[in-house]
Amino acid sequence: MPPALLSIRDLGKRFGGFHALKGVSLEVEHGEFIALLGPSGCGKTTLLRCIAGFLTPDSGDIRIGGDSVTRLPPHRRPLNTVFQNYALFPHMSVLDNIAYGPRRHGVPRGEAAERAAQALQLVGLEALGARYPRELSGGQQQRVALARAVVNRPKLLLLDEPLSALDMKLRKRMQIELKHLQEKLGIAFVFVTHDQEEAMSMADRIVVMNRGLIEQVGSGTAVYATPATRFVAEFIGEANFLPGAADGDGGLRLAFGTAAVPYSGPHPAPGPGTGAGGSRTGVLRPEHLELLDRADAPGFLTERGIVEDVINTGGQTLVMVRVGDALLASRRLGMPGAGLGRGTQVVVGFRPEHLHVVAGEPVP
Amino acid sequence: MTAALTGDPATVPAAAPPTALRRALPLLAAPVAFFVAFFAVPMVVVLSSSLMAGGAPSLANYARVLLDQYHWDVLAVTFRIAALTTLAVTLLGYPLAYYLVRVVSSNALRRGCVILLLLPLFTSNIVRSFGWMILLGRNGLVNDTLVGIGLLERPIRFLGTETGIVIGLVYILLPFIVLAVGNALATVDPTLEEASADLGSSPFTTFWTVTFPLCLPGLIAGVIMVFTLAASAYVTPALLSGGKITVFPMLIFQQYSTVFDVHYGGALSITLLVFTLVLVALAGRIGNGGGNRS
Amino acid sequence: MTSLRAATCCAALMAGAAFAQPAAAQTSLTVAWYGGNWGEAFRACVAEPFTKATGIKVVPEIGTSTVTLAKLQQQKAAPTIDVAWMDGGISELAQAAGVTGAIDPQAVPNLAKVSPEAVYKADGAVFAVGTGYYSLGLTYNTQKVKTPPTSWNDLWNPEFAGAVTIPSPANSSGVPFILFLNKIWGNPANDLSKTFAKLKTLDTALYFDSSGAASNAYQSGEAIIGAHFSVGAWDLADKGLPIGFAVPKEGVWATDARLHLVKGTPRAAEAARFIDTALTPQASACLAEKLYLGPSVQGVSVAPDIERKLPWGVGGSVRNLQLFNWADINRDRGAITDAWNRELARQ
Repeated sequence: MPPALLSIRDLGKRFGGFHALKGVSLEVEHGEFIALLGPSGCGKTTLLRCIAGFLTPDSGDIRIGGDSVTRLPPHRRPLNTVFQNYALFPHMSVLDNIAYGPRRHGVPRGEAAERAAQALQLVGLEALGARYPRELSGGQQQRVALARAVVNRPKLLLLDEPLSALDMKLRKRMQIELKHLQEKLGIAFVFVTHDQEEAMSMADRIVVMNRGLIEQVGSGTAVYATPATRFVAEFIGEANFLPGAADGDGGLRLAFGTAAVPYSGPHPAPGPGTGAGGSRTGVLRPEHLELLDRADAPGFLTERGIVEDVINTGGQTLVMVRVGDALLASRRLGMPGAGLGRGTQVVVGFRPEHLHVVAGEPVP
Repeated sequence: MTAALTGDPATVPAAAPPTALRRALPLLAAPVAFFVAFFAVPMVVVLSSSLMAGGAPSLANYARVLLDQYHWDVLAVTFRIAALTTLAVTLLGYPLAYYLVRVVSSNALRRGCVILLLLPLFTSNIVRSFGWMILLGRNGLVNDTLVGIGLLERPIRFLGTETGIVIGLVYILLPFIVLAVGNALATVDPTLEEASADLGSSPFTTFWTVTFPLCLPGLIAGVIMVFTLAASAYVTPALLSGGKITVFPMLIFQQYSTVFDVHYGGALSITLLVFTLVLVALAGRIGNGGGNRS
Repeated sequence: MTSLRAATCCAALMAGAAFAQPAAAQTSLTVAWYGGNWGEAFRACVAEPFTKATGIKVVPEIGTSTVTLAKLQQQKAAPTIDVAWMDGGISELAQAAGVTGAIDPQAVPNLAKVSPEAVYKADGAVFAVGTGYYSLGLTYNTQKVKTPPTSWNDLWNPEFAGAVTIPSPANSSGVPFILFLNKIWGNPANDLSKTFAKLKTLDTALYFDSSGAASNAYQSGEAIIGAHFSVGAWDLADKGLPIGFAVPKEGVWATDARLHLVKGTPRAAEAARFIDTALTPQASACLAEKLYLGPSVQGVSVAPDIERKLPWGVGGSVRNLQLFNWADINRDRGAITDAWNRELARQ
């Protein structure tokens, strides 16, 4: 089996007292689109800068195509980067910016210009080659940065929140273009973002990071449906949390309103993650908590509750229901029914198979 | 129309400038008055006195300056010293600025270095000249050391030579280039250098293709400042020449302070000014050309 | 609105200008003098006794003679300087520029005690009075120069090659020194070429612009012999440096520091009183003590140790000084400076 395109082992990095990376391992295959997702300070940008070579890790190893690049300076690494602020050279024309990479790799001037023109065509800006970066809009600068980064046809492209400076509409369009470009060129993308929707819509695999560690690696569906940790469950999408405890027979009991629901589905064993009390938490996505018309609907676990709030967000409605001490969210398609309002008595319920259990206490 | 009704300020530009100008006038008064009083008026006085000879308007003073080979010789010495000083200051100051801005990570250390660099500007000329004699004199520290370690057989002469004047000017003018280049360097976005490295440039290539061109305007500003200050310097050349080399400002000073011929002195001043401006304009043009090339 | 603001602005400016004038005009006198030990001596010997006697405060305005002249020319319409010390040479220029007022012998009784050489008149009126002479003599390092020099020609001694200093024309003594050498060498007064030719053969360390630069050169050992002012030389010697001052057999060129009453000062009476104070035997003796200035006031006696340091040397008097007519010097100044530049100040 050929070595992975990018292989990271046990990467550690400290900045003074701040532990930015605490032993991160990751493999990226040829042509993959990987999103590094997490809140600010989680270490995703540090990881990207270590891969690019702008930072030297304190420990661990980075290999590209099987060869260690950990000690190589950035200009010797076979990859390119799209920077958050684009980092276009202000003293060069657009074409010169793009031709800069080929020129540094010994490509003759004329051929470099030709390749630059092709790359510019790729991002649809062939008419703007003679302009200077300051004469371009944000979106155009973004495309030029992209063209400059792919003109050398690297096997691996690093992107540091490349769309964060664009407005929402343009960002959505660029997400689609970027994904098409990636598929067309067959380049592996490692894409840093703090926007989960962006990650879910573009990436083959999402790497969820928190406090210098990888919490979960998986497809968008997997991290949403089966979050590996309480953090992932909380960070990706919205969730209702049902506190649970061991029932003594290897099973669990989860608190749902006044009831303690027995649960025997797959769940993590007691361990360091569950704390001293061996506590675990049930994760229930709002779309799986349904408003029912009777308490004995077959296949459902049900409880009575009182509506506290009804929030309509266009195509969806979020109904906040007080069940016992817990405030639970239920998501439904369409507009809210006429009879639904604050104080309405309702029956809520879910199918046990939609419950997913992670280690640890519920998030307050 | 709608915008005008809502009073959007961006849509009523016609009324804005006069108001803004009227508001700005009191603010402008002080700098304009200062400029007129301390720059324009003295310039006019010097220029008009240079155009008078024997109580009548005349170009005789300029003829006396320009038709005499001696003045051309002094001008050559003056600009040679200024050019050598500028070269030496650039070669020393650029790396120093780079070091201070990019290498020194402690703010306190950087501040300390800048203060140290500026210190020469705060000392009096007499103290400084005494310092130079102690350093560069026949029995000075430099000669004693060079003779002591066997590099020289007999002391070399610094005082009273162009080399000595250049050394003195470099010492005084170094801060100007360091501050100008340092400022320019500090405004170069470090991610541009990262981008360059990412695209395959060694640090050396990155410096010459990205960092250097981006702080070229600062360097040129510094070079122009240093060149004009060196070409117009009086005190340092007067002290370090030991009276044995004459630069143009010394001729001017003589006329104004001891001979009291303001007409001839004025013509000398205007001549130096014009030649310096021409050289600076040429330098600016070369700099601009360099800045636009990639 | 705008005009109101402008009016306020103007009023504020005028008030500011008014405040810029000396507030207590009646009780203070502004006197221009030199910096360093000169200024200190003028303060101790003249200003302090004056203030003690009259209660009028003295505000010093420090600057060299040339700078003072420039200030006086600027203030011609409304002088703020009341009395000014300026050296010989500049004094004549000041008179020609019309910034000096007449010193009335009635208002300055002590003027009668001053040697006639030190009372400078133009068109019958006194425009300046000398407060003490100083000379440009042979100054040498007593450790490096074993036998005290006796002639200006000793500067050409090969032993001193490269370690000699003489004044440049930028110094007030530069141009007169050349005329002085021309005279003692017996060269024709209207032809300096022989003098310049001889000066060209002098192997100097430096031509000094300022007295301070000369002092520095002796102090650092850059110069071991040369022409220097008596005041500067004795100042070095008093600091314990091995410096000697000799009056060679050909004599020395000398000049004096003179007091001037500024034309148009509103405090003419106080200014005259100040000048009178400076011409007392006490003040003259005090300046001799502090600066070794040769007294211009007749009959002033000083201690023997002071006397030997006076500008005319042991046993000399004002008659031994070569006092040139500054009008002649100033007339030839441009030409001599130009010749110096071309002959000596280039490599």
